[in-house]
Order: sequence, then C-alpha cells, then structure tokens
Amino acid sequence: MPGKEKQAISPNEAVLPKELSSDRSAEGRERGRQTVLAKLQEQGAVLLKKLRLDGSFHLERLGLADNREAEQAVEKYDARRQEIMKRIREKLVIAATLAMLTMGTGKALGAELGDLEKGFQSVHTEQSVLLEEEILGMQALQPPIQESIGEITAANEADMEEGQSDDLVLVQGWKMGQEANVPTTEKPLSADEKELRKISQAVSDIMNACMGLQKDNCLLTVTQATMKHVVLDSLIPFKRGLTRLKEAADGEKMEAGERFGKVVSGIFDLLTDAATIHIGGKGVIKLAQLYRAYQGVTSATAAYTFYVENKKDVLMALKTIFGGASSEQQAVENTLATLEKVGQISEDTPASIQTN
Amino acid sequence: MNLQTYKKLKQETGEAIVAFGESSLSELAALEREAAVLEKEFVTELEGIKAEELLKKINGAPASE
Repeated sequence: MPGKEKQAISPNEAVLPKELSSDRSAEGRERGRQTVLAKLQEQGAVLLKKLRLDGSFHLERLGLADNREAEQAVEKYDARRQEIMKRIREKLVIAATLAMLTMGTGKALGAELGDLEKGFQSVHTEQSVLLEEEILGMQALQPPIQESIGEITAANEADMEEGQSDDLVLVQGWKMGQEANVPTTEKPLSADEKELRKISQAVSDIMNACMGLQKDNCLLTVTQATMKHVVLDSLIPFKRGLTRLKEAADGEKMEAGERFGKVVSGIFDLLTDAATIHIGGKGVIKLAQLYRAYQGVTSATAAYTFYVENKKDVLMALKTIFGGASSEQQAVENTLATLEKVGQISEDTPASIQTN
Repeated sequence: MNLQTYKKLKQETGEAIVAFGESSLSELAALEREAAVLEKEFVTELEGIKAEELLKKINGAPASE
C-alpha cells in the first residue's frame, strides 16, 4: 500500500507491574488493579496498531496484484488477522469496563477500606442503592457474563462515537464566537435570578464533587451531585459534559459499566468545554495542552487511558475550571465570569445577579 | 448489605480483576506470537507464488492474466 511503512510483528513477552507482588498494601492493590488493566490496554493498542496493515501491502510490494492465487492468500491472511484483532478488542473492552468499575467502586465512599467504614455508616439511602448497584455490576463481570458486559460497553462506545460529531459542532461553534447556528448557543442564559441561583448551586455541588478527585472519590459523588439538579441543561458552556453526567445520573437501570462510562466521558467533556472557554486566558497553557491532547480521544477506553496518563494535570485543570469556589456566592461569581467570557450574559442581566 | 460483605466482595472482585489482567496479558503475548507466525507464513507463501511466476517467465511460459 503506497505511503505505508512495514511494521514488523515480533513476539513481546508480557511484563507484569511491580505492584502485583503478593506482599502489598490495600493502596498497592488498588494501584495494581488499575496498572495491570492500563498495561493490558497499552499492549493491546500497540498490537492492534501493528496488525492494522492488511495483506494487500505485501501483495503490491511483490507485484502480485493481478495474481489470483496471491489474492486468495491475502483473503485468507486478512480473515485470520481480523480474527486476532477481534480477540484483542474483546480483551480491551472488558479491561476498559473493569477499569471504570474499579474506579467507581473504589470511589463510592473512598478508595481505601480505612475510609470506607466511616463513609458507609454515614451514607444515606440513595447512596446505598447506588453502591449496591455498583457491586452487583462488579459481580456481573465474573464469567460467564463477561461477554454481555463487553457488548454493553461496545454499544456505549458506539454511542459516544456517534455523538462525537455533534460535540465537534459545539466546540467549533464556541470557537467561532457563537456565530455558528448551534441550538445550544443560540439563546442567552436566562436572567432570572432564581434560575441562576439553581445553576450556581449545581456548579457548586459538581465542583465540590470534582474536587474529590484529589481524594480519589470523585465519580459517584459527581453522579449524585448531578442527580440533584434538573436544571443543568441551562448551564450552556458546560452543557456537553453535564449532559453526559446527567445521563449517567438518570440511568438508574443502566448497567454499572455503561453508567460509569458516561461519567468518565462527562468529566472529560467538562474539561474540554472549559479548556475551549479558557484558552488564551491567564495561566491556561496546561489547559490548552490538555484540550489539544483530548481532541484525539474518541472512546471510553481512550478516555480512561487519557485520565490515567494525565491525572495530575486533570486535577489542576478542574481546579482552574471551577476556580476553587468554596461558597455558593463564589460559585455564582465564577459562573458569571465564565459565562461572560463566552458572551452568554446579555446586557439585560440584572446587576444584582452579576454581583451577588 | 453490610460493610463486611462489601469488603469481602471488593477483595474478591479485586482478585478476579488482577487474575483477568494477568491471564489477558499472557493471552495478548500469545496472540502477538500467533500474529507474527501468521504474517511470516503469509509472506513466505506470497514469495513462493512470486518465485513460480518468475520461473514461468524464465521458461517462456505465458504470464498469467
């Protein structure tokens, strides 16, 4: 195939991470689980890349394009190559689901068992139900139902990829200064004070939940915070990420893998939205870098890998997004400041709202 | 569900995840070896077909359509 370079396939022994030794702490085990899954995803991705080259490359290289016998050999080779790729993808889908569920369960009430007891005693009914759903989801991963989980995750990824084009339209719309004909950016934010206060409370709750990333207990609290607010659709600049979070929060009957896939996706979409808004502002170089890097993420698997690889920067970015607000008023101010940057606040907005 | 049950499930699930990861890594390595052998056999087959074609040309046989 013209323009393609040959990538030799060579055997590569799997090397297990050090964290998987038998003598390890609870924290080490948690890291070990995530590390082994990340390693699996990484090696699988490398192998898939190597296998991307189809048999026609060799056919053309040897000048056998018109040879019927050679064409039959290519068909046979490609069929077996596709079968190997399918088996690799199945592993990756399960690994991605496990990674999300590991994160979700670990973060339900604190990743470590030491924190768990305290959290479990104080948890209210709604959280208990969610926790039990998560555990049921984890149990469902045990053979022989891994296949069904894989199908769900694959369908989820397909949905995400399907929605990607709409997402890009939104991003492009913002970049063009809301000149694009995008429904979510056509109408300015309502000037109604009550509405704005609800939004500010939603921002505050989600912000606090996201701050929990530092304590490794973000995902479920983000979901719970989102559940409390039905007004999130009005929060235009962060609409895409919040929509994903709300879908996850509303999806009580979803499989745990699908729900947390949406949560992970929502968090990263929040990051992307905010990076879009903040590019060019003070101290946002890292955000811009993250934003550009995240543009290549198109699947739940890739989103998780991106999170693992950029966790420190993601935390910093989330802080930047929400400005470290610690009160409703500050959240309102941060929200207004953000909205002003993207021109969402009309001149008709009462001054009392802008300053209160 | 009480805390002890949760702890037990968490531990068992964690062990199952690590076991899955370990076996999957081994399986990936096996798949990589299988792919390498497959590609080598395929290239060898094509080179054999090419050699036959050249031989036919050298012997004056008409080239395949």
